[in-house]
Formats: sequence, structure tokens, C-alpha cells
Amino acid sequence: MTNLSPTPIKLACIIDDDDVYINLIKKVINIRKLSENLLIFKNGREALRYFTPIIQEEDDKVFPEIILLDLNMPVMDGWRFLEEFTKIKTGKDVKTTLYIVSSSINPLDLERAKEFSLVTDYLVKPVDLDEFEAIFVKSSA
Amino acid sequence: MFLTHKKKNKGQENEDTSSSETERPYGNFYYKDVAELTGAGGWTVLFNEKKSFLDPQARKILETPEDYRPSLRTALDFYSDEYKARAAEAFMACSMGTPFNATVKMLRYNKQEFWAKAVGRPIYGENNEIVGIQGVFQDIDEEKLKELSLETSVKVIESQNSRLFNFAHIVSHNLRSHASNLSLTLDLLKSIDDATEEEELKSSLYQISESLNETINHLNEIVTAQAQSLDDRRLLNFDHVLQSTLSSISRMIEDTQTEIYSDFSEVPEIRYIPSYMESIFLNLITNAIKYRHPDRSPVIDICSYYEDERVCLMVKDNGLGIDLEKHGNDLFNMYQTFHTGKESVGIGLFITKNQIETLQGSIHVESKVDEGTTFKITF
Repeated sequence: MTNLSPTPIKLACIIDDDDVYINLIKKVINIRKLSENLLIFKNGREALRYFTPIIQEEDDKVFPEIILLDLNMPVMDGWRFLEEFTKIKTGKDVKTTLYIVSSSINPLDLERAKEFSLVTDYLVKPVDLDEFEAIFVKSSA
Repeated sequence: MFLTHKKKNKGQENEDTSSSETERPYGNFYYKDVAELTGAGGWTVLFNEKKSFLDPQARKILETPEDYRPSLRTALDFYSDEYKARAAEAFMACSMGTPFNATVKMLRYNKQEFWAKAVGRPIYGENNEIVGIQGVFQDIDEEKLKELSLETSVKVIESQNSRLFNFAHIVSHNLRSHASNLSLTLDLLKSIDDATEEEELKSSLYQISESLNETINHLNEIVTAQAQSLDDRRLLNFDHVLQSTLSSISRMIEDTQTEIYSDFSEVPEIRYIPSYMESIFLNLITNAIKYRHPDRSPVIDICSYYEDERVCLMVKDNGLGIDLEKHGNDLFNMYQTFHTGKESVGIGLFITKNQIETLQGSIHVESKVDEGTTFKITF
């Protein structure tokens, strides 16, 4: 009930190409027991390939409650992912909270992020442990 | 009728000058002198008489033979092909009453091109009808060429600027990601007391330091790639550069069974900075191999040739190809990779484009997904 032990969410998702960062986030999630399961994609294309059938109801896998999206990635970057993801037609109400987590401090990027209603917030790396926890607590509440 | 009118004018001119001679001790500043000093030649076409005139300065600019007789029929011969239609249009409009003022490419009698500023206006007769057209053209070749070269410089500087911005941005981004991983690791180290976890976190410190070094190496590569001066240009043999490039990556070529065909017979040599040329060959060839098609072994065609009197180099592969509509603008940016794979780093083309543009050249790309990519360099 308190901040120290939030109810873990069922499934979180990280879309990021930085292995070191992914390992660290895994640890944070394990140590603080923030999510029961974790999906990891190395770029937007991989994530899209996984999400599309779920949204189009061809697949009954669970949709992650939280998505942490990086911007600079090879093959398909965060922006293109957002564009493509928004385009997918669906009747299904997908409930997810998407955060951009990037080391870019370019004000243009922050502006651009506001154009996507899908984006809940823009977090600039480094995100410290308490900030992380706050995101997960908000979603499980 | 017009001619008599003109004569009258001349008479007046003479009267004017003679009366003011005392006020101009350095001689008379006549039309002829103005024409000579400004490099401006005049012409007249009279419709009724079906006659054309070129004044001495116009003849001098056009370098016509002494006995050349201008005619309306051959007037367009003095305009370069790309401007003939526009000149004809301007003449027509002028004969209907609309003056013109344009910068055009003209031709001298010997067909040599030069830039000219041309103005023209209709001549009116006594009843206000248009009886002919007349105008002046001025040889502005030198100025125009300077202007064009300035325009090119501006473009080069603009593109260098945008690449610098891209560079600064990427540097900041990459250094920040390492820094943020570092602080997150330290954060975690503070909050755990499990020995194995601690070991793992320490190993990630090594990883971070390694990636940081890698980033710095890339930056060094770029800085050294740009630090060459024009004085370092040498006469290079394309085939020699190719052979030395191939021997440096012979393992890669063997492992991938790459076939390379080259033809430098049209232009075997060029004056260029050796390290730039080596890096251009290396980047384009290794790119072609890295992004090879999974269904076939790589075939690379390389040739040199002349286009518009400039040396060009073409490197063509049969690889994966790239969707230029989606990625066209990003292709030469730093850290842009479009295919997954460990070998993709994303600084090769960035460096290549920089080197080529430093020496006032340009690089273009054509590509079809699944068919291959062709890079064309104009030196």
C-alpha cells in the first residue's frame, strides 16, 4: 500500500537498443518488484511486429500496461514507431501508458512528443530509481 | 522615317557637346566610351525596313567578323540553346510593347558562351505605333560566374553546417546515454546488498567504460578525417587505391565471396587527398558488403568517367538496397543505420560525404529495395 511496496503490474515493455540500459532497468524492476513480466524489443520494428496482431485481435497475448520507448534506435526509431503504431486500426480499447525515455534534451524532440496523444510523458535519461518507481506506482493505482 | 528622326537627334547631340566643351577639359564622355567602359553593346531592329543593326561595341562583344551583317533571322544564333525559346518570347513580347530585362546565357560568333544582362524596349513611330525594337546587352560573364560560385559555396557551407549540427547533437546524445547508464548503475549499487548483483553491476561499469571509449574513438576518426588540407592533394591512380583497399579487407571479401569489377580506363587518375580517396573506397565497398543481399553473393561494379567535364566515380552493388523515400535525407547522417547487424555503426557515409564536400565534390545515391544501391561521386 505504501510507496515502498507497490503492487507490481503484470507486464511492462522496453523498446531500446542500449544493452547496458536494458540490463539496468531489468535490475531496477526486479529489485523493486515493479512488474511481474518484462517485454524487451531492440527497435520499433520488432515491437510493432509483436503488437500489431494483438491490437488487430488476431492474437490474445496480453498488452503491456507500461511502454518505455527510446527515440534513437536503428532500423525503426521511436518516432516512426509512434507514427506506425497510431496508424493501426483497431476497435479494441488498448489500455497502456507510454513514456518516451531518451537521452535527447533537444527541445524540438520534446515539442514533437507533445503531438502524440499516446505519449503520457517525456523522461530524460538518466531516470533515477525513485522516478522509475513513481511511474509504475501511478500505473498500478 | 525613324532614321531621319534619329539623324535629328544626332545633330542635337553634337550641338550640345560643342556648347559644353569648355566645361569638360578631359574630353567628351560619349556614348561610345560608356559602351566601352561598361562592356555594353546596342542593337536595333526596324520592322518596316526589315533591317537590323549592331553597334561597334556589340560587334566587339560578339566577336563578329568585320563584314558580318546582322539580320532578324540569325539574331537567335547569339543565344545559347537553353535560352533561345525565352529570348524569342521576349522579342515577341517586346514587339507588342512589353520591354524586357533579363540575365541570359549568350553565344559569341564562335559559339563561346557568356553571361549577359539584356534589356530591350519597343521603338515608337510618329503615330505611337511600334516600328521596331532596340536594346543593350552587357557582358557580365565574370560577375555571373563569381555569383554562381558564391552560390555553390553557400550551399556547401549550409550542408556543412547542418552536418555539424547533426554531429554536435549525436555527440551530446551519446555521451549523455553513457553518463546516464553510469549514474543509474551507481544508484543501483547504492541500494542493493546482494553480492552477485553487485558483481553484475560492476561488470556493467566496464561495459559503460568500453562504450564510452568507442564513442570517443568514433569522434577521433571524424576529427582526423576532416583535418586534411588541400595541399595534401596528390596524383592518384584509381586502380592502385582500389587494389590497396581490397588487400586491406581481403578476409571480408573472401568470407563473403564478393566479386568486384572495375573499369578506370576512361579516367585512370585524379589529383586528390590520398587518405580521403582510400576512405571513400573503403567505406563504399565495405558498405556494399555489409548490406549484401542474403540470397546472393555480393557483386560490386566500380568505374570512373567524365560527366560535364568533371571526374565521376560510380560504385554499384546488388545488395539489400534502401528505401530512399523513407530514409533519403538521413542516409548520410551520423549513427543512422537502417539494417540490423553488429557491423552497422553509422559513421562511414557521414565521413565520406564530409570528405567529398570538403573538396567541392558531391555524392548521390540511387537505390531499390532488394535490388541494390548505386553511389555516384562527382569530384
